[in-house]
Amino acid sequence: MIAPLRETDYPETRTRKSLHGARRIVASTLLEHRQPSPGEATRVPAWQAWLFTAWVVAAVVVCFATVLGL
Amino acid sequence: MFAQLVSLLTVTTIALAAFGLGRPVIRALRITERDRLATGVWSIALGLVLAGLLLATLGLFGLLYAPAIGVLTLAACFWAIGELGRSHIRRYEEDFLPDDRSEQSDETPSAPWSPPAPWLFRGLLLLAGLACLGSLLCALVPPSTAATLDYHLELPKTFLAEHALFNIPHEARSTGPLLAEMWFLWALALDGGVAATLVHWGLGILLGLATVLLATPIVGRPWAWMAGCVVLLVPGISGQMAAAQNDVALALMTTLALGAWWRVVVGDESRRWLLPAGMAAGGALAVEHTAIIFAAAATVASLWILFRQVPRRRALIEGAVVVSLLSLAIGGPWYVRAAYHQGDAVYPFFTRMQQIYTATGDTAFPAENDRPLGRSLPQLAAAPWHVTMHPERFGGRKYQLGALLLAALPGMILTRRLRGLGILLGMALAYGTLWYLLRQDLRLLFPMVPLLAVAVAWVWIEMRRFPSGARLMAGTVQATALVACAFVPLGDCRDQLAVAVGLESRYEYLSRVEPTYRSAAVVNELPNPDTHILSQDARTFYFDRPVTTEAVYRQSSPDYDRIRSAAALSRRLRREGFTHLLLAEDVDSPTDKRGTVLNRLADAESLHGGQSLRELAQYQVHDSHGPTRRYRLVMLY
Repeated sequence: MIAPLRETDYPETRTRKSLHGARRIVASTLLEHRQPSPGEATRVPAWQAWLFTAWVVAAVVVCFATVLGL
Repeated sequence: MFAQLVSLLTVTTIALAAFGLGRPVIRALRITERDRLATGVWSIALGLVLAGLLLATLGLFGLLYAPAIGVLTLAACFWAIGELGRSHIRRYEEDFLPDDRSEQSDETPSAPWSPPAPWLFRGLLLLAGLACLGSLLCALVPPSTAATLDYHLELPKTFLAEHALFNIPHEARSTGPLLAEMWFLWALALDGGVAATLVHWGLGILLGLATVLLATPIVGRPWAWMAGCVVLLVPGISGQMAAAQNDVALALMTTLALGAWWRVVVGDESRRWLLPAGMAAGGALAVEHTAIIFAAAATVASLWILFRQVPRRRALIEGAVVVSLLSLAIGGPWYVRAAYHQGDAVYPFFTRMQQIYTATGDTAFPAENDRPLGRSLPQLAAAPWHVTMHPERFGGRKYQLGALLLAALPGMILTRRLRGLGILLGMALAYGTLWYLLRQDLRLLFPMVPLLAVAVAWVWIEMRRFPSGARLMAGTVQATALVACAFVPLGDCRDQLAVAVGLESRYEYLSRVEPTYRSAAVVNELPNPDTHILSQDARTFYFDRPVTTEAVYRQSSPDYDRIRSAAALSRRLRREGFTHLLLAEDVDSPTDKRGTVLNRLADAESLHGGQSLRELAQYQVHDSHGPTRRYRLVMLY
């Protein structure tokens, strides 16, 4: 029989909270603080966006031409 | 104009009665307390399912009488008015007695991205409103499409005339799932064909709102409205809203079922949502056999979630069992009835599929017409293009999906992953693959449209990350496509505008466009109550007297084609109870094989001046979508 593992219950002590805060201070000191510029980090590459735009134009134009019997 | 107002009032009454039936169920479930839109849509939808079940039960017991249906409708209406008054008083109390509940808004939690620009939001709502207005004008004219008249309205008319739901000999569809036809029967009992068409138009509006509910937990309520507008701007859907058929009704039920199922399985919301999910799934099964394909796609999606979410496996299986049992309890009786009458619970659904697969190239069965895409993998990959560009090969332009879905959906490649959207797209992919394998008919794709509309909304949200030039151009072109889609139904209603607004009478309109109507008007005036017509045209809705189509008669009389003289034909048909013939033939193609026996004998009789057949009416009708046809109403002596 395998003995069930007892979950460790970490006590919420003041020491651990202060340790956590200290870690954050050290990390923020060593790591570069970078303010994300709005939109830049998540912007879709231009060639991908224009490729999609070309597809949209082609699909709509061909569909219109087909419906109009051109 | 008065007739149009009566029809609109009838549909409003039906919607109110459905709300009255469904609202107590929704209130008991306590799942949409804070969302008035969800409360309204779910109440009407579940009320319609319950009303359809009630009407079917009345039909099985031979109690389908218009006065009884009217009384029950009025009772449900009064209940609905009481429900509305009660909720109004509650809201009034919450406004003046603030407590914790009053702080809860009517909306669902907001999404992390900003809502669409007001001009964009209002513009899309305006376009969707224009499309709905166009389809409403089309729906306000008496029905005249062949599929509507020979099946979707003919069956409820027959049931209502006989006061019972029964198996019509040689009409296999009379034993299939007929929930939508029960709603049409409700409208026929209270008003007529226009009200039945308006019921389907109302179901289309509900479909748009159901898409909003489906999309809300995924993209947020403001963008969910955009997804709902996209659905209403699909030309096939706005076009079908103007015809009393069941495709939009099926899409409504599958969308509601999927939305409720999503909230439990993906959104991890209250398990009470499983109950409306099961009821809506049962409603879908009761509308059309195609719901089986959707159920198969949902099963694939469920198995994937089971595979991914091991800790929740037990809860997910229990949920699947609840939904399955409830849907079978609601939709199952239709299949039991089919099994009783036909010996096959899903007849003729799988029979037709089997025929498609066993048909060889040189057989008479039009296998390729059902599978115009072929069977290879490249053809499957090109299916979205062909379906969009050549809808006439997949059932007709009236079912077209429009350019937007094809244009916008590839944008999903550029977007970030969105929680809950993947499962919708997976289901759409599974459904589309089954559609490709089983039956390539555009109207069967309607249940996929709301799922794809949610993806389109997400692509639009993600287009904000595009460079401004690309965003502007892609947005402008898609907006152009949407404007065109909005004007499709407005263009379709040009010929029907006069009758829709009451400038032309319904009689004049039908005499002009519906080929069988003039003959029906003559027959309906005949004093003989034993009048029975043998018709070569399947559109029999406007005849008040019994009509048997020649195709059905031929099945019961194998030697019918061997009759050689008009006198023998007349004697035989008179002996079997027929009094009149309605002959229909294409003027442009006299070699048309349809009804050759009747036409040939009638021609010979008129040529030789015989006395067996006497012509009561003759006229030609030019169908705008087909050939010119000659109709003759002949009396048997």
